[in-house]
Amino acid sequence: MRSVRSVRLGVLKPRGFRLAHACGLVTLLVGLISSCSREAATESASAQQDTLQPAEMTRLKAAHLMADVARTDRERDAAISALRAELPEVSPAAGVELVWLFQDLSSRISSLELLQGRPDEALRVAEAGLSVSKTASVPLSNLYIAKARVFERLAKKNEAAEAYYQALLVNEQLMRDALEDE
Amino acid sequence: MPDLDNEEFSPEELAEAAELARDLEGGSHVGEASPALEAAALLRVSQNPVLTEARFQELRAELPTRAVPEKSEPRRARSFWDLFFSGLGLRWTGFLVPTALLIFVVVRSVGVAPEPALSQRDVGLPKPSLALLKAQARALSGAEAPEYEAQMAAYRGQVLASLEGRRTRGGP
Repeated sequence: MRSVRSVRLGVLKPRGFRLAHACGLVTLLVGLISSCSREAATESASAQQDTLQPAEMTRLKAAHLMADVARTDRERDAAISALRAELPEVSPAAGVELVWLFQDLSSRISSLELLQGRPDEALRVAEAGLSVSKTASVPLSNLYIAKARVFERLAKKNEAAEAYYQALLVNEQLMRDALEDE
Repeated sequence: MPDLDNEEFSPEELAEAAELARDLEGGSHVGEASPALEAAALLRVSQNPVLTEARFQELRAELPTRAVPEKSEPRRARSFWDLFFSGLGLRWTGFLVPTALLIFVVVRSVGVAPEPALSQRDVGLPKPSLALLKAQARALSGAEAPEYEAQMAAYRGQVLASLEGRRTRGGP
């Protein structure tokens, strides 16, 4: 049974009033749906953390080992190829683990490219690693250090100082977090 | 005190009385309003104070329309946004939303870079040790730091082992 109030609303409210009410309700619904989908995206991003297969993990470790022991130019080139082969695909929704692996590999490749006398390529790889995420981590700081060393090699002192400063900021952030947890 | 009943009236007074009598009988009077005419009008009103409906309608027709509305005016039309926010049940939203946006923008612009490492902590990646971070700070001097390379290799090993362990526990 319709109440007197509902009847009055239905009869007296102009069309614009009902339209505005409908828009308000639609906005609320859209907000609720988008917040739910955002939560779902976050869950999906965190669910993307286990993307490395055991074989991939083994190859990744081997590539890092090659980079650890590389002393000659040929060994370093082989290590660069092995590390590049393990660079994961990183989407905007990638989990923190994938980002960590990608940035760690990028910083190592950049350092090796610089050692091989290819600063432009070293800078490109470092920039690619930095473009993925700016969340404070050890690999992020390493990328800034690698970038700073490239600029030093290119005699760009101001750019090098800026990159070192960014690395220092990340290092400070991590140090603060570590001290807070102790 | 003068005896008004027996007093002789002057010709002017008599003329004025006659004029008053004419006015009281409703006679027309062209020209300036005389004191007698004003007095006659006052007397007429005092004798017949009731305003008839016909006279009221006549007077109302002479007045500007805005002064005597037929009925109460319809309510002022509310704007779309007014209705929109009242539809949300947020009557003050028109004020609160811009304020909240302003605060949000200010807070965001004051925020410091880089982003905190919360997400890394949340997903359970091993945290870097203070020794590693100190070695990294020394490497920031630009000099080669073999100690840092060794510390970094150990930390990398921890992270990879953590990912492997996670796969073993919950992976395919």
